[in-house]
Amino acid sequence: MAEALKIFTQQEAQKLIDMEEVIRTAVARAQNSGIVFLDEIDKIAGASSKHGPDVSREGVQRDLLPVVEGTSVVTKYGMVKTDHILFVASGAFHVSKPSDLIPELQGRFPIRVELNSLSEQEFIQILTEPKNALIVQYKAMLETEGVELKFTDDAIAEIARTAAMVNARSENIGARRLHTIMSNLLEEILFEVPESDVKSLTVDKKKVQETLASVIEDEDLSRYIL
Amino acid sequence: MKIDQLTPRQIVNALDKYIIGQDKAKKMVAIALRNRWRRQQVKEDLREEIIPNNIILIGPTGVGKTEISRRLAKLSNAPFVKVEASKFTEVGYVGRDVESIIRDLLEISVQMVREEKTIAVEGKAHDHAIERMLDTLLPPITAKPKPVGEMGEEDKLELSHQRTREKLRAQLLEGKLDDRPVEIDVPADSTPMMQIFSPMGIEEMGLNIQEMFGGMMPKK
Ligand SMILES: Nc1ncnc2c1ncn2[C@@H]1O[C@H](COP(=O)(O)OP(=O)(O)O)[C@@H](O)[C@H]1O
Ligand SMILES: [Mg+2]
Repeated sequence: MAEALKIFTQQEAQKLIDMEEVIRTAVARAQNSGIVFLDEIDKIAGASSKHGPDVSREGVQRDLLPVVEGTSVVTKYGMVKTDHILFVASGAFHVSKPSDLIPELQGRFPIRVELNSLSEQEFIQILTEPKNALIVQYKAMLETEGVELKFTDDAIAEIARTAAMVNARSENIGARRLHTIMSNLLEEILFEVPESDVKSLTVDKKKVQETLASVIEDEDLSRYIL
Repeated sequence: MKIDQLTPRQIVNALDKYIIGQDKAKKMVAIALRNRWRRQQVKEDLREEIIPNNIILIGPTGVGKTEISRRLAKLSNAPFVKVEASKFTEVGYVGRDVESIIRDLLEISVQMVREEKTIAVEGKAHDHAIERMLDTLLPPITAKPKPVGEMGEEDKLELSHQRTREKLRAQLLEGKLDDRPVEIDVPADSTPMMQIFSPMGIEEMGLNIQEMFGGMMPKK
């Protein structure tokens, strides 16, 4: 019954919504406040690879140019003007530089900002401070099963230290490393908790070291797991 | 929260709640967002002269480039798409395909607005749903018109039917019937699956949004 009522409610809501108005509002919103994130822009900067069947990088830049400059794009909801859409491009620029982009496109991206690679101290903050911090998330998830998950300060420091170390030793993937480390660290707990009757669990430094030791010791393995 | 009313400093403060460090990047995106709005307010002839404040975020992977942009979009209630520029260099792509970025952005925008409207009509939709459920459980009886003042058998039936309906309504509203089975017809393609995906989910999963939404738009 609850399920059926939900379906009825959704159906009734659809009847009450004026789709034409939705589309008008949506077109205006995309035009005036839309944000396009163009990742890996560095990969289309610079001379095209001499071999390989890839479409030339410069060609892609030329294709992007009108969209960034402001044009009208035909969509199934009508025309969308791109003049006021905000474009945020991003890239590591290890090999190429922003100045390797074609001048016209460079001109359309007048603001350049460098982001720093994150320190161990920042990892500690990332683990704990943001509203959606990983530790906040895991605590909330286990709370749904009536389990209080706690981390000692030195455990958090150890997680951050391990993340920085693995980043330095294998590939540097920044704060993403925290995700892989945390899921490895909590794997057992997440598996066992529903069938145990513990009400509270504390992760301390020793627990972090023990759990991650085997993975860290094996350099090759940690390349894949952590 | 309306972005038009947010100053760059307020935007930075809002970003601070989610992103550690990267102060310069936060500051620049905040200015860019405000500048876009400023540009939109400028008289048209001059506006065309002002170059939009598009940004390049330079930095290694996993330091918050995407997160900052996504949060910026979220706090300004703006539709957001992420695309890998490099995907357009792959074999099989042709020039105009870059316009698909804008089409995807619009799909996201439609979905956002649609969700907002759905929430706005939720109460009313629920009322209608309750009435429909009552009709399903207790099909309305069609009484014949009668001279006034007379109380025939059918009127009594009608009256008791009304009472039953009210009782059922109360039970429905209290959720007492939630677990009771009931059979309803659901057209196969009417499940609003768009609800399952958040705006950020879609672009990550690389689904063909156009196809997904196929059945939900007004038929042309
Ligand atoms: N400065 C930061 N503060 C908080 N979280 C961060 C920061 N940098 C990265 N993260 C987290 O790491 C993950 C990857 O970040 P992302 O922004 O996608 O990296 P990229 O710089 O490659 O775009 C996300 O889950 C994000 O929340
Ligand atoms: Mg990235």
